[in-house]
Amino acid sequence: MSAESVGQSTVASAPIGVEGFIQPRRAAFWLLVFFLANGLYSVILLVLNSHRVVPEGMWLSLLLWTLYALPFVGFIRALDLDEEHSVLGFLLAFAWGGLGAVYLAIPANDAIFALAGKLGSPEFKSSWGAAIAGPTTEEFLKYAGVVLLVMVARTQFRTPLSVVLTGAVVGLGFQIVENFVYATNAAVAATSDDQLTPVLSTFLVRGLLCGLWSHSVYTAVSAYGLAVFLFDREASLAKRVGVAALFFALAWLLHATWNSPILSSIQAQGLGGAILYIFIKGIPVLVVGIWIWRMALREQATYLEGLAEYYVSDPALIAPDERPSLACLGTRRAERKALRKRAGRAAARQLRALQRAQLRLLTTLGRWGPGNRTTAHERQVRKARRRLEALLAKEA
Amino acid sequence: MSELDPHGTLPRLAPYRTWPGSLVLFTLIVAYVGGLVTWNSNTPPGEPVTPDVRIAVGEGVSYVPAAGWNLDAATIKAGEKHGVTREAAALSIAAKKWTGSPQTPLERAKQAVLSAKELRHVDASRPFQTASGFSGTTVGYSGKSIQGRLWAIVDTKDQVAVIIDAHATPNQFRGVKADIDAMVASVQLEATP
Repeated sequence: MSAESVGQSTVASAPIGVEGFIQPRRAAFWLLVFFLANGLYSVILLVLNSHRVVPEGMWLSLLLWTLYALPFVGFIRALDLDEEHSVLGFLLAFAWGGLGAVYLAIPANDAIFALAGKLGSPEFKSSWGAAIAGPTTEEFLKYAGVVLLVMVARTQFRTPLSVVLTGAVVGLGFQIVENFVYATNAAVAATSDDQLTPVLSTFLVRGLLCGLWSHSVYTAVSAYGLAVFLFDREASLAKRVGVAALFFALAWLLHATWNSPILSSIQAQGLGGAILYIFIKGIPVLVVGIWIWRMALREQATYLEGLAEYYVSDPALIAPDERPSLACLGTRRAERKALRKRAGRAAARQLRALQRAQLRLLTTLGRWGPGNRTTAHERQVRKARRRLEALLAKEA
Repeated sequence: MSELDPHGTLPRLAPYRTWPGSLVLFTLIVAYVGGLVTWNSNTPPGEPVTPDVRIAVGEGVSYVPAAGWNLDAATIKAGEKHGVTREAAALSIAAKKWTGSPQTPLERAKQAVLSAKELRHVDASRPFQTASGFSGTTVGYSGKSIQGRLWAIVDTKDQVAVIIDAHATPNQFRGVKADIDAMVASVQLEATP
């Protein structure tokens, strides 16, 4: 999987560039396709079976979770500051989570639950089954998908952020399909003919109250460990493996704590208690997720500043005072906000276009080096800057 | 390193092998999932049932498991579901609050069984009555290697639905039918005060 699998001299003399995710000459690609095809078949059967038992509940669940996925995908896409990944990369990551990982997790989780009942007791299975099966099976399978995607097209992954975001999308795919299953199961377990209310309640709890601290964060955390393994080349192999294992363990621990009955007595104290329980358990997960994202973003900033420093000397493309904020969403937003106050909405929009064009230029430089591919992006940056200056001049 | 890539940081379109890594990953996944499934299949289901002891399922529903059967620890969910097994035969009994139409529980259970067990034939449903006075609807089903029956009892007064599912291989089903009938007949619902 690593660059060292072929001789360093071969690598150094190979042409510069980035490959796509369709790699029919690589075994990893076919392994990905194999599990995705099996997963697709299995998830279609799951949907059809749900339709047989609770058709209205199934349709509502499908609609709600599809609509729910869209802003999440958009949000994660927005975090991919410099659009490192193609749409196909995101689709494959989502599909691994929602199809491949779910398909493999169902029999494994069922077996763990059954074993917990047989080797422990039915009470142990009910209390701790999810805390054992969930993190062990699901974190492993989602992580395997991230590793597989890196193997398919390793040149697509230039920075830790690209690996972390892939992990987040794999987790999101898993989260959406799992929630769909939970919602239709709730309709099946309903105490009346009404199939819609249980689906809506599940959506409210699992989607709106628990959505921010779920699989997407867990897999982003474990993927950060993989990123350290891939990119921290100066560290020893043992250290890289150790750090990757630690982050995987952290993701496992977060997931296990969430699934465990710890503090469940709070949940029993009415609606307020249930909401408090969700937040007490969820906020630490979110905090760890933000910490991971900030670390990945810091490394992204170093990477982008390095590219700008070496390849972009023209201040008309990236001015010296623009460089520190290249990979900082907050600073960039603050700059736009300040400009909106000073020069109006149109100027702020144009600044956004300039910032995006600069990031696209740097991404292209980071993938292909300077050349024909970057010329068009340079033109875009100059054009965006001219427009912005014209707007500012008009305002003045 | 070149002028274009002075630090050697730009990606290179160099060929690389992925089959060793893919093989390792495939083996790990198959070993994990297959290993767990095999381990579970080879683990005995649970303790033998104590003869003539009434078991509470939930919602005031109880039954008496037949002697010679084992508890199905994988199926049992406190307050909701209980189950017993004997070789390839299994009986599960689920109870829940029910305020809807009396036909729905059996219809949903039938559809769930149909989709889960690849059945070839499902009988027409017919009413049944137990010796203890319970009445409900029952439906038989069969497939290539399975024969089974569902019973649904809906008590509209106490707002409780009970679903019993018993199945085995076709040969074994005939052998355990008397036990199954006895267990179904033993179902009781504690009257609400």
